[in-house]
Amino acid sequence: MEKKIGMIANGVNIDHIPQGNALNILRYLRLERKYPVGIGLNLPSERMVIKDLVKIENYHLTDEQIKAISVLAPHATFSEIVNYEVVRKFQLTIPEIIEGLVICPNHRCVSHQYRSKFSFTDVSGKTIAHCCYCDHNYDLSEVREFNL
Amino acid sequence: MQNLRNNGLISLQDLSKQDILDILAHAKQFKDGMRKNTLDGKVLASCFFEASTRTRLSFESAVARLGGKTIGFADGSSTSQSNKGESFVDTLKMLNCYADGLIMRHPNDGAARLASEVMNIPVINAGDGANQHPTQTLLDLFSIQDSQGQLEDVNLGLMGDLKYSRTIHSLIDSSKLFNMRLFLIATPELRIASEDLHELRRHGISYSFHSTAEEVIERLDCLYLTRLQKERFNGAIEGNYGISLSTLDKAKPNLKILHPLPRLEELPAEIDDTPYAYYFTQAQNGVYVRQALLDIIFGA
Repeated sequence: MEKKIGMIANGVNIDHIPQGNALNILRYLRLERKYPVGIGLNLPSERMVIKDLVKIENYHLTDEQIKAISVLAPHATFSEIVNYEVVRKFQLTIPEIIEGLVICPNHRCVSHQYRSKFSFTDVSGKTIAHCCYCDHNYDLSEVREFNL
Repeated sequence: MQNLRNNGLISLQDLSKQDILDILAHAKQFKDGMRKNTLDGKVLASCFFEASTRTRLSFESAVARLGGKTIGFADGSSTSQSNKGESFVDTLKMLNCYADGLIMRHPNDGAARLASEVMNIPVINAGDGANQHPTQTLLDLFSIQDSQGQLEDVNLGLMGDLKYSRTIHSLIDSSKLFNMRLFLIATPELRIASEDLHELRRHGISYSFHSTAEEVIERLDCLYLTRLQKERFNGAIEGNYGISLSTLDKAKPNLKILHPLPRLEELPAEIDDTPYAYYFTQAQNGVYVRQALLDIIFGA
């Protein structure tokens, strides 16, 4: 397995989070107070210039949570640690479709009365979020509101 | 047209060019006098959560001409959703129990797509907010084809509110399928949206900008006018966004004027008695197109 990460014995490390999105991840996860959490905001990064980082001790993410975090922190690096060993590490990829997470910026969209459904495509280095109801397209980096 | 049969119609994007041509050909058969009882014994819910006189009545006329019956409401103010706080999805699930199909107009974008997901009866979008109104576009295309004898290579003038009009947006979207030449006639405030312009360029559609209809009237086969949606503007719009009798002095003999109606001052009543006026025939065509669509969706 790979190198040891920080002081985490067991848990998850989410690195290369776009600046400003770490707190969204924690809001989404709604962790119980028993889990120690380390947050790094506005850290220097070779890959991103500035990044955020989240470490959560004694906590493991479900596939559904990883899928949602892929939207909240596109292309972040996810690591799972067990007994100081990195047992899984990969760059998050945007899911094809996610329901209920993204709030459609179109205020006339019917999803505000139900639940949202967005599909994603990468176009020229940008992730385009497509509302499956009102058919509007958005640059995901400009989407600011999520159901957290 | 297997994708239409038993499925309904939510967006024009769900149709291929051949699907559109097949629907228009079928509509022509109805216009030429074909009679069918496809909807005999069927009940269709005609639910207009916002009022639309022409669309609702032409749909209900089409259902009746096919032998079916309609239930429903002409605006959303008298529903349990409006008066008792029932959710939109619950209203849809309830309608699913009462009807064989749903014809729906709704003020919210995407409402028809949502309805098609939570219901297992065919849903026909009769307009969802600023998003889609596929049967309007189909009847517009039918009207161009029926008045000109062809859809390909037509010189089409689009005039009025090119920026916000849903019908204009859909026609621009369709023009790429039929290689139409577009003449975009609008004041600077009402010129087409940048996304539409991008689409025209991407698909190699020929277009030009003009500020009055007089500049291009002698080249047009069809002139499609739209109402200025004044509620969208704070100040008055400068310039000319309508026509008059004198506009038509140099019109080609085959010119037809189209308008989705209702009209305001952009299309004065003095035009009605000219051979160029086609907008009431266009409204009538709406019945044939909707008959064709319903016959395809509910036919055996």
